[in-house]
Amino acid sequence: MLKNALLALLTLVIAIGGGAASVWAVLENGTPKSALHAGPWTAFPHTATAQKNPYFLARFAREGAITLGPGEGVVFTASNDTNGRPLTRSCTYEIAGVMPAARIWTLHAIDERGRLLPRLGRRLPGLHSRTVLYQPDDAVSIIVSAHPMPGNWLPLAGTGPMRLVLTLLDTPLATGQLMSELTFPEISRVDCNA
Amino acid sequence: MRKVLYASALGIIGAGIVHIVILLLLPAYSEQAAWTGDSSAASNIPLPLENSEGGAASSNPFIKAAACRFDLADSALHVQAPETAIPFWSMAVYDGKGLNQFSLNNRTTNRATLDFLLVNPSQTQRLKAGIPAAFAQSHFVETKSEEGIAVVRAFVPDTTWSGLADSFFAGLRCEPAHLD
Repeated sequence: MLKNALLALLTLVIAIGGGAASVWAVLENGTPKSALHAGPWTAFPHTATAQKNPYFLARFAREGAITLGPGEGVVFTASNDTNGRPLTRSCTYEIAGVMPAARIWTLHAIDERGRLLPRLGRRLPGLHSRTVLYQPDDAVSIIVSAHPMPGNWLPLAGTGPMRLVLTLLDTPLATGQLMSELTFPEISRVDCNA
Repeated sequence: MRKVLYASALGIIGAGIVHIVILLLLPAYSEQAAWTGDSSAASNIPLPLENSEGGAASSNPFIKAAACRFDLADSALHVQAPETAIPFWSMAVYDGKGLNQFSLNNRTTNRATLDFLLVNPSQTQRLKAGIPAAFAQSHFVETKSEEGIAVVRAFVPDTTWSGLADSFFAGLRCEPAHLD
């Protein structure tokens, strides 16, 4: 009798726990069909086909945010660097490479709950295409750090994990250009404060 | 031992069912949280969307946004803003679930000012009979959803643009438009 009860309990634990955990895992990491991946960057553009995907709908409902429409732009986020290590505010990162085609791009840092990081003094934790210095080949090199840096510096304040958000305003990506035709910058860790 | 294996197999099938049920119920339950917050509709002044709301798009410090709710059952919605030198502005229309129905930016319109008339299919039919003079210059946007929100966004490169952005949003109006 007790044995049967334990077996029933095992079945229920696997069913409920496994079912909930698998939904959570899929929504956290994104599904191959609805997400765009480019190195460390991931985006969930609001195309008409994506809006029929139940995984996309569940993810969108859970975030509860009003995202950009395809005619406005596409938002990419990165939680890890190019080597797959989680981004943290105690490390210095270099974002290097050519930005994807867009009329305007912006880059800013958010905390784990999706809020903009606090300002460092008067400086916003963000940069955009009109404030950065470009190299002759159109590439950019942006240092993301809590310490002042020469060149393009994205200042970090506080401690804990963070995510980087790359917003492409008015991009051909939203109107069907293939991801493979676009270049994305790499995020490499320079060093860390222990 | 066989019984444990049997129970585990049953559990895995159950996990699949639970996975599908949670997935399909999520939008229905979260919809409440996202859309019942402030339902005092029918205001002509668009509500500013705060940057602190969270989410990758709305946390952007360089984008200011304002939204108005609409209900097209009685009248169309006229969204209008003064001409501006802001380098980028856009408008997006979302249905009651928050799904994007329509979006464009200032380069994809052929006129420099934001002037849209949101209509439902029956109002489109009325417009085909004759466009009222007041809306002769407007862009017509037909939405399948009767209720939803229209969001206007503007790119504010730095604080020197704040004044321009403020006057753009101060002049932004969402007015019910009667077509007859």
